[in-house]
Order: sequence, then structure tokens, then C-alpha cells
Amino acid sequence: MSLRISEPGLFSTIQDLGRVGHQRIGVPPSGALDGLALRMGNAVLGQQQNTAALEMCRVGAGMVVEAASLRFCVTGADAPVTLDGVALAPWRSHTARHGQRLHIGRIRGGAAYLCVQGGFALAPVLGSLSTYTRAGFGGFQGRRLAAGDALPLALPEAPAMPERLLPHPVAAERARPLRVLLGPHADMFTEAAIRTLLTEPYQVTNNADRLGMRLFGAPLEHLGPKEIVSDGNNTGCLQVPGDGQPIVLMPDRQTAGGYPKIATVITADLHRLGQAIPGSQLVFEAIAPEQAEVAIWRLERAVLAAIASIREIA
Amino acid sequence: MMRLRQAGDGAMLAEFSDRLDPAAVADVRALDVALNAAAPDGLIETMPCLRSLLVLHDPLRLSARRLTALLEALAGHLDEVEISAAHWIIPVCYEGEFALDLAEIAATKGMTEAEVIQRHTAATYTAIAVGSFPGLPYLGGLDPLLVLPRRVPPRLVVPAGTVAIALEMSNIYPQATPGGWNILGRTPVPLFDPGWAQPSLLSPGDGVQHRPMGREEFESWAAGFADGSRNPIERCRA
Repeated sequence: MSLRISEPGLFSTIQDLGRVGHQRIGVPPSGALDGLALRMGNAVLGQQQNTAALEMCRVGAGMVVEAASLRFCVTGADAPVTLDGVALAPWRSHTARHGQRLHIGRIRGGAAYLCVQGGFALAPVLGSLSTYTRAGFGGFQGRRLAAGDALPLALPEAPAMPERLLPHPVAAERARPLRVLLGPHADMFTEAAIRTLLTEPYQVTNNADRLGMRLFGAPLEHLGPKEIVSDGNNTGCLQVPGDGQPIVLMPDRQTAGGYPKIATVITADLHRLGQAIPGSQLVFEAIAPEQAEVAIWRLERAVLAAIASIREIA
Repeated sequence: MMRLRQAGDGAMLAEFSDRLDPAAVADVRALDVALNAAAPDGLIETMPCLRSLLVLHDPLRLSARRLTALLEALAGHLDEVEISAAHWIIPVCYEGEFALDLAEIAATKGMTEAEVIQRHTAATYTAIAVGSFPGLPYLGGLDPLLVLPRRVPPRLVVPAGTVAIALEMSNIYPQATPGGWNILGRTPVPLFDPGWAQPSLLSPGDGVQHRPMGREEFESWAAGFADGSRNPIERCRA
């Protein structure tokens, strides 16, 4: 039993919440761009939040269900979802029968997720099902999907149970600034550069993928050297090469880098960063480390409340 | 002296120098061992790099304040940390199209090609870090007379196994990728396979030596790794 891909979309890969513990040998975390949407889709299906799903970037995929039946839930950025041409609501479960065509259209944001009940029957690599295309491992054959691929499903049919609905997803709040902690190398930039970063908008350029997003805006001036002797990278950091235009590092980023990093997006806002696309205007707001701790506690509380609100559809 | 730089709410950089510096490399290594031995709840993983240790932590379980206190306490006792390392001998073929930049390096440095190879194989290297790409070692200990800047612009594709030098380091490209280092030769030894019990042949801190190998021996080794009759761990452990 499988999902037969008829249209692969723009960049569709299998992702879970990422690969832990191998940065020391050069393996980045990978994992969902919007980990919150992945967790929620799995919660609706009543399964482990880390269950791998199909991540689709900017353009969704079309596929045929080749199992007796399949329960699924689409989450993430808004996108038209149809089953045999009939529109379906996201953030709730649906069950498809054998031979039905599921289609996810143009995505109004960075990523949408197709979570399936029972998950995919794929072998983890280094403890994770996340695809890392740059080195060609993880997920489905280490690559993005192509037309004709048969994604193996773990369950032959959907267990009998009522469909479920998440009434109020945790909002991505596109209009709100992305919160950052300054650093690790804020001291390598002029005061004017820090001020500029925190007042001017930065636009995501076309040079944006799962490795990183090049931004364009008012250039940020280095105080001294424009390069550092490499140190470890962290997802969400804004590294600034010599041209002064920041690059935000995303989950497939290199594990080490030689440009100073002016600021880092906080953990609680990484799911929002993951929904940025070329043309998005990003505005950054610096907060104190203590506020970042409050933010992550608040987010996790909101996640628990959202999960508690999931209800059966009569 | 250790300097802590907060790198977001889930990461801390413990920096020991702003340059490549053997003392900083040793401190990074010792702090890495000590922190992983302490294994505080909420520690996700560490990444030793050229002059700093990146510590990733779960801010819900290990606050920046507690992590800072722990790192500062550990940093006071780095001399007492016991460190073990594996040693490897990785053969390199410095011939023909494998040695793309050898003639140019020799000319730039006013040496014969044989002297460049001799200096490259005489050194004992340390894998200061493994990263930027899976299994890619940054080998410190390059002969000071071989220090060179990176090539600008970088090459779009450097073949897997390429052995190259830049700055004060030597490296090995585990997989074909773009790269700007100066190419001296190629090794048939595979460096990374996610299916191995230990996916990277080299770990941070390991010792490495190179020895020259001819084209025929290179091909025989490459065939042995390709058909599985040769095991890189057995073949290369010193």
C-alpha cells in the first residue's frame, strides 16, 4: 500500500522533527520547516507528534491512494486541498478510499504538511526520517519526490474511528515581527547596523530554500573583519557576509560557517520563520534572553491547549 | 580564556580564541568531553569547531543561565579532562588529474612538486572539526610553508575523495560538492556512510597522517571499497 505521486509539487520531501546528535560529524538537523504544523497534524490523527509527514514547499503535490483506505490531515500554510475534486478543510482528519485522488494546490506560505495515520513505512537514517537532499539520505531515497514515486504507507487501511478536528490552530502571525536574540557576534557590527536590523524590513529573495534564505534590505556594516574562523551554526541565525545582506540559516544548513552572525531567531518563532517565502517582508525585534524563555513556555502552553481542544466530528 | 556567546535561546558558543590556535583546539576538545560526561538534562548535542564549542540545548529543560554556570564550572578544570583519540593513516594519490593544483602550488611556493607532497605527508594532522558537510574533516597541523588562501571563485564541483589545502589546514571532501580549497590529490577511502555504525570515519580530535599511493594501488583500493571487500576502518586505523 502506498501513495502514488502524480504531481510532485515544487519541493516535496519527507520530514519529521529532525535529526539529533550528528552535527559533530557535519550532519545538520533537517526536519520540518514549520515543526508546529507537523506536530498539530499528527496530534489530530492521535499519533506521535514526531511522525514523519510529507512536507510540500510553495506548490503542493497530487497523488493517488493505493491502500484500502487512508486517514490523513493537511496542516501548515493555507492551500487548496481536494479529494477527487471536492474541496476539503485543513486541520482536520479525512479518510480517502482506494483509488481516490488527493491534490494539494498552490501554498500561500512556505510549507504545508500531509500527515498520514500510521506514518510512512520508511527506514530511519541516523535516527530520523527527515530527508537531507544535499547529502542524499533520509526520507524517501534521500531526495525530493518525483512523479511516479510510490510512498509506502505503514497501515493497509484506516482504523475505524471518528474524524477529528483542531478548531483553533496556533497562528503563524505573519504580520508580527520575528523575535531575535542579538548575537552570537553582534559585537562585530556597528551600532548603526544593529539599529538598522531592528528597524528596517528585509525581503526574502528568490535565493531561498531549506538550507537558508538570502534576505535583501539595508546593508549591515561590519565593525571589523567580515569573516570569522568558522564556528558552529544554529538554525535561525542571521549570518552576514561581506556584502552586508543577511542570510537566515534553515534546517538543512551547513553545520559550520565563517560569517559573523548578528542575531538569532528565537526557538518559539522558528515555525513562523519556516513559513516565509520569496517576497515576504521580515521585520526583526530584539528581546532579552529571559523574554525568549517566557516565549517558548507560552508557545508550549498554547500547543497543549490546542491539542486539548481537538474534538471528534459528529 | 573562555568567552560565552549566546547564539539564540537554544544554543551557546563557548569560544576560546578568535584565531586558529592549538591551545584553543585542546580547550574546545576538553570542554566537549567534560560537558558530555556531565550530561545535564536538556543538553541536545555539542559541535566542536575550530576555536569554539557550540552547545545546543532545550531551553525548556536547560536554561541559558544554568548552562552558563555549568560551562564556567567545567572551564576551570579543563587541564584535568582525560582525552582519547583514534589515529588513522589515509593514503592519497598525488598524481595526474587527481592533483589539479599541485603544479601551481609548487610554483607559488617555489618548491618542487615532490617537496610539496613530502611536506604534506610528513605532517601529523588533528581533525579539529568534522563539519560543514557530513564527514568532512578540517585537519590542523599543515606545514606552515604550505599555507595558502582559498581559491576565488571556488570550483563548482570538487570530486569525492579530493584532498586539498587552504589557510592553515588540509581537508578531504567526502562527497562531490563545490569547494574553494587547493587540490593536491585524491584518496580512495570513503569518509562517510549513514549506514555505518559510526557514520563518519573521522571524529573530532582524531589524529590523521597521509601516505602517498600510486595510481594502481588507488584503483585497487577504490574497487575494494566499492565491492565491500575492503573496510575503511580496518584499512586505515593506525
